[in-house]
Amino acid sequence: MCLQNLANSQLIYQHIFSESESGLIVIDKEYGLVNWNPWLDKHSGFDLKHVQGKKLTEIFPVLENSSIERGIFSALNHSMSTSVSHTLNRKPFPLKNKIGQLLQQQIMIKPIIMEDRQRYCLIQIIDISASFNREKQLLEQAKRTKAVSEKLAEEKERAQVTLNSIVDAVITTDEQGYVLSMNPVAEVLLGVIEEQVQYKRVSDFFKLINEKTRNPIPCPVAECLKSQTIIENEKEHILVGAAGRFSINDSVSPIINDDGVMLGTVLVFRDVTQSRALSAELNWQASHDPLTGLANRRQFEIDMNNLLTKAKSDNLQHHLLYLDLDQFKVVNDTCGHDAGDELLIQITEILDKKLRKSDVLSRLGGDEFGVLLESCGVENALAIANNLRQAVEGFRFGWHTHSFKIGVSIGIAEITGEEAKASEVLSAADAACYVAKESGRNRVCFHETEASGSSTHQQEMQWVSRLQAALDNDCFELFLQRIQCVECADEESEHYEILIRMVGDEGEIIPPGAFLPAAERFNLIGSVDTWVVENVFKKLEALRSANRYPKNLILSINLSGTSMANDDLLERISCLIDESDFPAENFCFEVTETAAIANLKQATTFLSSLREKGCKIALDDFGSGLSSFAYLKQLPIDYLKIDGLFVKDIAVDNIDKAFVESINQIGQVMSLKTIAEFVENDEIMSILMDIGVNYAQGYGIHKPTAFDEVFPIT
Amino acid sequence: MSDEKPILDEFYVDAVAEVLNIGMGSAAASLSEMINDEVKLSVPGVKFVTRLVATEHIAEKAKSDVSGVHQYFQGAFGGDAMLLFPEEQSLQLVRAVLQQDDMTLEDLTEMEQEAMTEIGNVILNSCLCSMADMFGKEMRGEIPEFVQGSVEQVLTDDTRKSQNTEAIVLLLNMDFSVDSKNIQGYVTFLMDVDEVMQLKQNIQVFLGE
Repeated sequence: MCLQNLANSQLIYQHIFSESESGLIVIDKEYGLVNWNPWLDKHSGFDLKHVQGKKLTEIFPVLENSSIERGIFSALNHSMSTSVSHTLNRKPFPLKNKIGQLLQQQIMIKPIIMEDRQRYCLIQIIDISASFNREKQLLEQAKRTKAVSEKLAEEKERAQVTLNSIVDAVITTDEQGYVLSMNPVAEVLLGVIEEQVQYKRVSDFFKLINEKTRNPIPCPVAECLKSQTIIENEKEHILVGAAGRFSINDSVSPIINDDGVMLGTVLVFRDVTQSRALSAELNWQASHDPLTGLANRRQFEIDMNNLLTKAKSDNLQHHLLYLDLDQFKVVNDTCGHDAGDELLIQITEILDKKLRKSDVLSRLGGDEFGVLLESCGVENALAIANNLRQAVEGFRFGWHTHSFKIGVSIGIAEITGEEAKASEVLSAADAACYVAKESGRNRVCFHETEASGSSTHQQEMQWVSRLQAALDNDCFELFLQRIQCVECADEESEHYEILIRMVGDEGEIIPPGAFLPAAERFNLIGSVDTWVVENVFKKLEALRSANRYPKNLILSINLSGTSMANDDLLERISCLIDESDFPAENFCFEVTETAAIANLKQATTFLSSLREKGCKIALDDFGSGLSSFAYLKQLPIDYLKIDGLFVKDIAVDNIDKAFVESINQIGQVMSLKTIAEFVENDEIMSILMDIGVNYAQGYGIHKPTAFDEVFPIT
Repeated sequence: MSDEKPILDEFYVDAVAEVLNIGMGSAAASLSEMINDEVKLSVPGVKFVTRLVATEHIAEKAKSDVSGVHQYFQGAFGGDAMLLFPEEQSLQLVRAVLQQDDMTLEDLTEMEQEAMTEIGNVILNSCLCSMADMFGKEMRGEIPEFVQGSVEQVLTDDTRKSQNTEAIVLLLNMDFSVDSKNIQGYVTFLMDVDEVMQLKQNIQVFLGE
């Protein structure tokens, strides 16, 4: 029974030996091969029968001096076990698989000591090719993965460093709006640290309000999550957080992957508190007059355009007032700019008090103001304009010892909604204001609309082209009106004022009142002045050629205020006198009091030059400008022409007479010759004689007559 | 074991050290041939200590885990022989031996552990052989296995035979010099008290006492 078991047991071991899927080799003390299993037959290519008893190094010469040989030695002689790795072992068994590839081997060498002390050595060879290859692949894959993850880590690091160093605040969220990360700038602006808000919703701590209304604004991150589009805002957002309030620009971009799935958002915002304050300041400065704090012309036009747009849709009446101070120049020139500035500030207060809350008062220019009267009918507009005018009229501006009476001319234009642009309405009101000024100042004038068919402005516009054509084609004619010496009324002097007339297409004579305002308005007056001067000299030249140059001639030529600044004209006059060699005292140049005062410095320079040359100077329309006599001392003049408005009623109006008397007296005291205009009859003439006015001019003496009629060549 | 009385008298220890150094010589020769580069091995210090002291000693040097090879042995005396390196040092060793400088700790895969096992095997076999020769007795070494873990774990693994808390450790500091690198490791022979007595007797016989 026991023997039977033993026999069975041996049989089992034999089977195990034969069937083992690893190589098993048994070596005896003399290094001879005792046995190997069929696995080795299969992989070595040797038949056990042919190699049994041989040394391993004979069968496999490659094993000479190998770790395997040493291992066998160690096992047989020292009973030491050896493990030979495939990694370090350069000389494995030359075993191959079916397709001839060398097997990767793990080899173990163990001593076997039998009961009879007989020693053997067991070599076990395991084919690890499969796991070796798998590992090799894994290793390569791991290396690739590592390279990729290193690159990713590097990118992440770079992104992190970038985020940390940019000046914008950045918060990233997941697709629910929960915070994933936040950079240091965001921490500062929000007054929180990243850890405090991580995994909180942005809307929980990112609170915005509207700059103007102070109403809360919905969280842009939530909006972005909903719309999946970029939400941007560059104005009116104020961030209210633990760190205080900041004006911010913010934008939220959705992060959407290639499959169109929303992964989260990036919220970027920036503190623009300073720049917004600055731009608000700049905006204010750009739209306001720093002196009075009123809206400036630019802002006024914007307001008016808005009103125009409104007027198109509503059926309400709106009006525009154009105000021009009458005496501003006087204050400015006599007391300096500080006084002028102060006057403007005080006038602003006066005007403001008389206006309704909804009316918009603006400063349009030096001494020009505009008022927008929204939802205001014609009568109401007129009433407001007159209120303003009276308020200004009743005001006395004091500066040190001076006291000034101020007037204002006001033009009114209706805003109907038909006008294309604000400037159109503004021009209309301006034109009306001009008319108010022209018709004696300190009054209100309503702009006549196109519907009424006689828009001054429109007419003026037409005159521009006619004037230009007349200048180009010499369609003007010179007229003369004699200035008579009062004391020697029976002597006909050769003292004339040069007047200008336009010759129409049909040869009709057009009076200056029709085209000169337009010339003034559109800057053509300088050209008209030049034309007159040139043509006076031409006429005189013709007379001289014909040997008819008059003796004791004095020709008074009118110059506009604009010409006072025209150095070319001064040069031209000077040149004409020199070249023609006509006596300079034959020429007198007339400037209106208003024009002279308006450009006092330039006028003084201009007139002085002419006077030094020998020409005479006359101050025209004196008295109408309500100006102070103080000017008279400054201006280099020879003649003082008393405004005809005082003269024409002198026979019936004692005040006018007193005016003329006092003006004459001043003139006499200053050694000026006085000239009265508008002398329409003998009665006036005799009063003037009583008063002692030196010269007289008017229809009663001599009606304007064409130059060629007064001085015929043939 | 009390601190005052050494486990083995000093001259016994010196004898063991001398013999082990001879063993290292043959191990170095084998390794040099294996990796085709000169390998020098030396054992600057040999001492018998308690397992606790050995653990502390090695742990002091190895900040992290240790890895290495262990191999049971029996015969003249029995125990568990181990070659241990602080992990970074074991990496250095495998890098030097495989001559792959860019290999990281993570690259120390099974295959490299195998290389480590073989190196340890050569060294430990040499140590055991030299002692067997010294005592003129049979020493049988088992197949080596790779170990890795904390010093504590490695030196008290329950699956091994010498888990006796009274275990004694023959501790060798070992210096490797390969590929112009110096690597410090430890060889330990973990034995229980009986086996140490066996060893002592063997040494006494060797010394002719």
